[in-house]
Amino acid sequence: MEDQLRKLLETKEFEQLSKTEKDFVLQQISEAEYRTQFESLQMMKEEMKSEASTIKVDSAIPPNLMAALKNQKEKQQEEKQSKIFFLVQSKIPLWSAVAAVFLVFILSTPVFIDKDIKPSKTGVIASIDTVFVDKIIRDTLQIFVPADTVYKTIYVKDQNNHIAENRMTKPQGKTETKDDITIDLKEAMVLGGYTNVLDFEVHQEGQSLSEDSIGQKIFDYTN
Amino acid sequence: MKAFQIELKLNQDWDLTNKKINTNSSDEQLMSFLQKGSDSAFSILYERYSNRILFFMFKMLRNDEAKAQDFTQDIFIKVIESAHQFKTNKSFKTWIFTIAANHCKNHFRSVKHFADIDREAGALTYAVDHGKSMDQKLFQKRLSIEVDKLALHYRQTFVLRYHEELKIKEIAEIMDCPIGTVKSRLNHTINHLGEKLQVFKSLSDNFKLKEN
Repeated sequence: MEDQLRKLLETKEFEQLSKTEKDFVLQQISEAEYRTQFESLQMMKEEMKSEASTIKVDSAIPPNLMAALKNQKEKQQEEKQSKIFFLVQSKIPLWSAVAAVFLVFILSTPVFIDKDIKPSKTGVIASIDTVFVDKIIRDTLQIFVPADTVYKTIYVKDQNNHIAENRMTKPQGKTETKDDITIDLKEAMVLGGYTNVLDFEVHQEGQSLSEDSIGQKIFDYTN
Repeated sequence: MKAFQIELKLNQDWDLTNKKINTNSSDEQLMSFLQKGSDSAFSILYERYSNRILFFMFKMLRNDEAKAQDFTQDIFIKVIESAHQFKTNKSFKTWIFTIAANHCKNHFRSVKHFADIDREAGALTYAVDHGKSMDQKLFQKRLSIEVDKLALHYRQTFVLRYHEELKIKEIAEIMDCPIGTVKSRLNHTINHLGEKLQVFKSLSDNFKLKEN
């Protein structure tokens, strides 16, 4: 409300107000008050204008300001230069400078970089999984059996358990790897010293061939 | 002043050859040139604002012209020193008046001058001494005195609005206060001046009646 009244006071005389505006103004203040306030506001503006025209800036100020501007520019120039020549301007011992240059030379010269060093291969990591390797090797075993080999399966009635028993005959077959390492599989198994043809270490852990399902099949097959 | 104007002209010529600065450039463009170290940009800005800042200071310092001159110089030195901080997308007019308003505030804070000087007695003496004809000029003088008696922030608001003719929003930015506060201060000032001047007018009318 007051804001609206102020806007009217700033712009319009009482006579210039519309009927609605007059009604609004008279709700707030009297006509005389409005006139006085409007008059005082206009007079104040005029007074300030005439007062402002009587005072002028001192003629000594501009030279001072130009000097200040010059100083400021010099200061900025110095700051700029100091940033550019920071390394040159800062004093460090000669030996430090020489050492730094030498270090940079060493680090950046290709002569000192050993190009013969090859990155280690990751194949070794895969061979760690011995169980996996064992099974693959067993799968690749080739069994050569003479053409006249006869396999007999003898069923013997067990008095107590009635369970069929396989009778083992002397194996005729021999195993052979790709490396032409030939072993007598049965003898090796009997002796208990069966080892993978590629793994010459004696395994302390894991399954024996007779316990292993694939080994059992081979065993059955050779018998 | 003459020497300064000559210097300004020379600088303008130099810059005009590069088609960079002219007197029609906006304040913000000139500030941009000042940031790059242009003397003539500063000279144009000084020409535009020096008297305005001087009058603002004059009113804030309750018509102390000598101090107002010093303060005007201080303000422009601040403009030179802080030119690189000015953001050219902002209004230069608002920026320079903010510097001026803060300078006044700091001054009054340092001298603990917040309490209004009671000039009532002096004003009345003035009125009696020169009051043989209560003419319009005297009435204006009385108005000026009443404005001087206002508290600093009311005075600032009043001068910025009715002499500098700034927008309410700009005044709020300069004085770092909400728009509503500016409006409220203006309303208060107008009411206050109206009341004071009504009393003065009635006194004046009585005086005229007695004279007749």
